[in-house]
Amino acid sequence: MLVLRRKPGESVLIGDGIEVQILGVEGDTVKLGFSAPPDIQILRKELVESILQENLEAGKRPPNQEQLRRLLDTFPKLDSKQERV
Amino acid sequence: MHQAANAPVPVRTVHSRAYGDFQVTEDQIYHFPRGLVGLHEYRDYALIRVEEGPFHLLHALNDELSFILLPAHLAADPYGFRIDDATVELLQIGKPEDVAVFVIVNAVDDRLYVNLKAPVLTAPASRRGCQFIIDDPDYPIRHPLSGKEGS
Repeated sequence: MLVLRRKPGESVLIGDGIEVQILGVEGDTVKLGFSAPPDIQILRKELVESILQENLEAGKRPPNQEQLRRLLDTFPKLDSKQERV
Repeated sequence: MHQAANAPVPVRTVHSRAYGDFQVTEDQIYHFPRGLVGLHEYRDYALIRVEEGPFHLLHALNDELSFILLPAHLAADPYGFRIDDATVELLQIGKPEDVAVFVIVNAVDDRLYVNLKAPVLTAPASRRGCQFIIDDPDYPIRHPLSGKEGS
């Protein structure tokens, strides 16, 4: 891992189009500003990890018969008037 | 029984412990170039409608990994978000109507939830899909699923 010391107002550049600026430091919190091309999604790591956990729970442990039946009962068959997906 | 000339022909069998073996047609096979969040090694899925209802089964072609999906508009209304250019390109779509939006159903302790934070997007024309993370704190990962209760 590369470690750099930066002061508020200073930046680092990652590759061609990504800039991370230190906007300020308040106590134990660092405020960062990001500039990146639109195809780069910037997300908090804990958010991505919590989605991964949810995916694992939902995907590795599919609903049992009873849960499936309840699902199907809760949302009855679509009739022709309802719009399709 | 004779099949109609234009009936879809099963092209492969999916082996599933949870749902038994089933056959899928070409138009039910979707490629997820990036997989799902944290599950990048699984990229090819079958997308099957469950018993004429709104639910769909998204089942990995070569694994037991499977998800129950619900069209997003049945889980939350209003529900809307912007997708970025990279996702538009990945799905090879030209307009919003080209994409179907599903949410993943998760059963936890006998309650049903849907993940509004990270819907599954599928494009029937290109048969590509992805999981998209919505940058909006109003959409939770675990939203209680309530149907037409009492009906």
